[in-house]
Amino acid sequence: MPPQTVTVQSDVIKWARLSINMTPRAAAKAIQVPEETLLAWEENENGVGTPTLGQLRRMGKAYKRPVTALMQPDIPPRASVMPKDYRTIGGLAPRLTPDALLAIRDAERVQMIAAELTEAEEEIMPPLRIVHHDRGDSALEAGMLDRADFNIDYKVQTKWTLNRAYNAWRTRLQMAGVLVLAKPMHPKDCRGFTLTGRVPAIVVNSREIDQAKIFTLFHEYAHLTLNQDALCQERNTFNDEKWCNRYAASFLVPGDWLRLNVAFAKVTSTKEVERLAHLFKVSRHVIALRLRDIGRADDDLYKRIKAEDDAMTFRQRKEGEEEKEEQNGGPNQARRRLTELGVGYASAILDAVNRGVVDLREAGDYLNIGPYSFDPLEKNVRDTLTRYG
Amino acid sequence: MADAPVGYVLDTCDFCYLNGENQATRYSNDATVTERVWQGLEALISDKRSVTSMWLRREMKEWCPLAYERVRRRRGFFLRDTPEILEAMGKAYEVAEERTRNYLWNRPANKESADPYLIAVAMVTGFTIVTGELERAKRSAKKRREEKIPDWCKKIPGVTVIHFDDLVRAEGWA
Repeated sequence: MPPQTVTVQSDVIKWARLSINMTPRAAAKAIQVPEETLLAWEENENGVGTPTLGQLRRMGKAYKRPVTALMQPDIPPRASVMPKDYRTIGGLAPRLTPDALLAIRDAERVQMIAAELTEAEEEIMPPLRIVHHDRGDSALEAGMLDRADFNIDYKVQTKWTLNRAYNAWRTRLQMAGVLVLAKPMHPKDCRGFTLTGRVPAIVVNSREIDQAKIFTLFHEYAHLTLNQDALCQERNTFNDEKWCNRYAASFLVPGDWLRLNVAFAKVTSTKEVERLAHLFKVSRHVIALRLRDIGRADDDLYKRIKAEDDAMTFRQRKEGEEEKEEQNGGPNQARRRLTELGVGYASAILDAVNRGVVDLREAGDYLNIGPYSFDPLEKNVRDTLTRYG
Repeated sequence: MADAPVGYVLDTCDFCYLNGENQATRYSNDATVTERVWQGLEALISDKRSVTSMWLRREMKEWCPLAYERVRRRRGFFLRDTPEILEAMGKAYEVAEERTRNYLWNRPANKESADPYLIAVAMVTGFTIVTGELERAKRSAKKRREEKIPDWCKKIPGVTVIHFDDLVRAEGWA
């Protein structure tokens, strides 16, 4: 008896493939059908394809969608795969890997849930404290002024370890009402992106080193102050990107503090830049940029250091490292989710459970954890807020 | 019972509710009553009058492991997917709310939602869905954002939904 087939909508399966940026050839290989068969399902004149159950399951796995998604009668009305105003040279759509597309999808889902919960009970998320700026404003002044709200003085910042600095800045942003997620993305994809909305979100590339992630946090925050969705790639050279770079550098390295730490002569040595980067817990190019801003370094130094930094901002991860981590359960699961989703989102969901806005199973679904991870998660959230908040 | 529905499609929350696993309320604190209901349920499963979707296995393992241990070897209880079930799901989607469709569309690949499968199983078998989920009007104002199984099924001709308490009453186990 031939295997039984399932009728699926051509446009839905085609959209699912495109939403993960997969070529028909790669998809056909993953589903284990000839490419012509896949294209025939996608382009069928009756608008339907007929894979077998096994092929449909493989399709879900390849497109990173549950099978239930592929059975939809048409493309969901609000399905999107990209921040609306992504910017690249010439305005061309960036060719993103599945990692980045999944990160965007997950961030949109988290953002939607947080917005819904805020609608049900406003106090679930901290009040949003973003001061909006205009492109015409001075990025240096804007960064410096906004920093005052975060109340981190010189002594505190310079005494932090690098990892503590990242966690502390990240926590502070979340306490200002912004969701901050950390998702693994390919180095070629992007360093981070923002999603505006009722509950704005920043996503940093978890594969970057801490110095780079700290800069990305405030570069993306700068986009939020300009009220724009953005996907920030290394090759972006648009004015807004430059504005956000200067904002982030000014935020992280206040000019007065930097002047206190450098001699009157211009800085030319990489060693001195390294010392200052270590002091302020930022990348070397951020220091070079700020030195240039205050007239203590030349453009050449900044360009040279920036090029060197860009080549080494990503941690080398072994193939399949994330998948391996995924298999562990219990307290590890809680810690992983907290690192990925951020303390802002996790505490919002836990708060929603306590306020009776969601039940435990819904919360488990929103956080992607089982019932036995709630206690360790709650403890981790408390610890994070005490340590970094 | 002559007027009892022919069969039932059970949801994870029924087992959580019966056993009191990871659930604030439970059907009864009296172990004898709980056992009586369990035996009734097991008889229904043996008579092929109670089924569910295979996608409940994972949920049950996670949320009501004790109940899962009790039913996991029951032959014919966890129905495997068939093309009919999946195509019924496609029809169910036609009446789902936009929020439901978007939420299910954007779920992570490894997290199949059992709800559409339960509804599809009910559409194919003609059985009644038994769930602890409440329709929107019966939920508190804070909990009305999601379309739950009873809300969704109201729009699907021929699919009925009852609460676990109704099942116990209908089968005379109370």
